[in-house]
Amino acid sequence: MDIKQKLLGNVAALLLLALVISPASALDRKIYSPTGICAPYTPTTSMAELIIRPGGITNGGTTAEAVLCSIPVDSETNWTATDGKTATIEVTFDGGTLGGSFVCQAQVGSGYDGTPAVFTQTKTFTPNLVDNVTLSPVHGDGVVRGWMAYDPVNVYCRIPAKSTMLRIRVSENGAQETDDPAL
Amino acid sequence: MKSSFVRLAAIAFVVFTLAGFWLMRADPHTDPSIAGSNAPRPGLQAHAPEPAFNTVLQPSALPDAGNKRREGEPLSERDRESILLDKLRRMDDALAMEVVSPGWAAVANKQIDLALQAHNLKTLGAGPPDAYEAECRSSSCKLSLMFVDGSNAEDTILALTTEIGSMFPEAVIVPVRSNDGTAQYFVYASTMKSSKLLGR
Repeated sequence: MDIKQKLLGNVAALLLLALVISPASALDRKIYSPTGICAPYTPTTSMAELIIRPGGITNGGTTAEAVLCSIPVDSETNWTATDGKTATIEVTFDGGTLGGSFVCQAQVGSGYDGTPAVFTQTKTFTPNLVDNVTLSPVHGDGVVRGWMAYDPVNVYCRIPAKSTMLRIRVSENGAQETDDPAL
Repeated sequence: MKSSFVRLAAIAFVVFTLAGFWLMRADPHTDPSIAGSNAPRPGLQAHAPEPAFNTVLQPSALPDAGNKRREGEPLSERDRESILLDKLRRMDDALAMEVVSPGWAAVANKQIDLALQAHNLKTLGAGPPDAYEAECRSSSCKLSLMFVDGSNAEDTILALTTEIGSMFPEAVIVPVRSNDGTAQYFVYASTMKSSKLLGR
């Protein structure tokens, strides 16, 4: 082995080490049942207008109803779109026999923070379609303090008649999150 | 030969481990003690130097008042007002830098007018504002909404931002409440995701 080969070998080893050691982005994903974290959006929607079962929250009525869900957040870093450390919130619905227009809005921040930031997504479902309304990227840049790690996150969704809110999936994206490769 | 390679690899491992720790410590987004440093952040507008993370905000610190505070830190109404005014100033400055596209602005204004019509809001359990105006440029709008009775204003703002959400996926809400019960809300809405307009 000549000196050139030795050098190449050493450089390759160094590059490999650098790759192993450098902090990589990871996704911490969690799945929630809406039955545990959502409440009727009062006063326009009451508990009596929703059917709450292990499979999800169904609107059994003839007009759209709304729920407000408090999203547990345990981010290990501060969420900012500037460097791509954000979150994705997917709300899965069963469009039911009618389908319709589904809308969800994530609100980062509260009255304490003064200036909540909102992220909205609208999607039309055909009947009997199971699909996601995806809010992404969700971050705290607009909030006065701008640190999602400190800010509460709520998701407001309108559930059209005869449709069901099935689950909520939250993916936190940051270098220090614990990756969930199985999801 | 083999032993020298192992030695080199061991040295490289130590060096990169130390470098990795140093880089993680230097990340202002992961270390609160560094987050309030005066180091400029890429992609953000240059403003006056930010206060230290643990500085208790006073009105005298108004130019920097919109920045980070310690979790649970007391916040007087006066401090809060300063923070909101600072936030408004920053977003107004960013909006003013956008060129005006008359055609786009007209479409955006129409969308906002539709969303704020009383019959549309009623189905969402909200009432219209007592007065509003919208300033739209080429990808963003600033809405100013006045409520004589501010008690249900939050419902109207939620209804409005969800209705215009297909056009404006991101928005920041700045509420300014008065002691007499009136409330003024400013909504900065952007057609772009991760818009710099809405940044810190």
